[in-house]
Amino acid sequence: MNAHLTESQLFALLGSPGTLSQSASSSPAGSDAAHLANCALCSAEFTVLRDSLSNFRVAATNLSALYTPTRLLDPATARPRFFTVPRAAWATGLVAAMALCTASINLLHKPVVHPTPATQAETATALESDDALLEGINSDLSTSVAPSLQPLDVPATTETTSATRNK
Amino acid sequence: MTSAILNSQVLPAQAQPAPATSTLESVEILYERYSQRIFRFLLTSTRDRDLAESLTQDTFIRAWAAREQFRGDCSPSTWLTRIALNLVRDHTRTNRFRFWKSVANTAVDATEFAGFLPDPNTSAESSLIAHEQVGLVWQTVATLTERQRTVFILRFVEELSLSDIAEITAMPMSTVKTHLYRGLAAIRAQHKLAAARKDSL
Repeated sequence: MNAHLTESQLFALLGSPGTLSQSASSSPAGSDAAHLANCALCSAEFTVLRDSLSNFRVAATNLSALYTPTRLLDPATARPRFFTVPRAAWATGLVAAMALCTASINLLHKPVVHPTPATQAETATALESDDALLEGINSDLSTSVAPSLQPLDVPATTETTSATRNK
Repeated sequence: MTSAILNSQVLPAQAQPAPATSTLESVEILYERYSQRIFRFLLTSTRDRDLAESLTQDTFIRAWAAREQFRGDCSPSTWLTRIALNLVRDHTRTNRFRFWKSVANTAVDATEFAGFLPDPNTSAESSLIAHEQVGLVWQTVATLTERQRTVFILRFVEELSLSDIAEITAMPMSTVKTHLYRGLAAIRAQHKLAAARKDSL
């Protein structure tokens, strides 16, 4: 004889329709359920699980009953707005959008400026000065101590030398 | 016809007659009739009141927009639950949900949830045990996978049949049963652990 209900048998009993609706005193019907009447251990575990699940449902129902929104926020918008706007309004909107796009393109469009000889000379000068500046930075970086920091470097070297001599 | 629908609202959820397509004629009636059930499912799924409220609104708006697709081959409740479940899935996949979940102050914890258990005329000890057990179930359900939790809630909170759950979740019946049993196994394990902890004291 099987001593106790298997987990599957127990779960099948718990999952059977109407189990949670039954009162604590009643027991489920069915062939597997007959075991519960004779086995105190299985019966106790079944009752604990059934009551827990039943109370879980009651608590969930009470909680939701308290907080359920009383009505749709705006029933008029139950139909998506896309479908509620008349076609004429869509057409007008489309024409307005196209006009706006055209105006924006005209405003943003800059005429092509052909470089004059004077402009070309200015550009060449600017390029030269930029090159000179970059060259200066490169030479500064390539030296161990930057020219701007050389006055600070001399005393530091002296101090270090004198400190070495004192040792 | 409207009065017939309204009159049927006084019946308990399980005793309502098989709903017809005509119940979709008004979004207000649809909402009045099913909003609490949908909100309950969304609240137990997301554990956040504000989010559940918002998704409840979205469910009915989406259902109303797609009402022509409803052919009456399942109950409106099943259809609405399927829409609600899709919304939950869409929402919980986003990182934004994970962030807001961590900072949400409308999240429902186990103590608050157990507080909604009415106190019947039983001893204080029995009432305390019942509160502990409900809190334990609430906590354990949070640890289930998304599918296990959905199946568990649909079966033990919404009391839907396995075939309805299979239809809503688009899973084969055997898979639904597997998820349900795994969920129950987790609940059972936590109950045993709690009992052992109590015995050791």
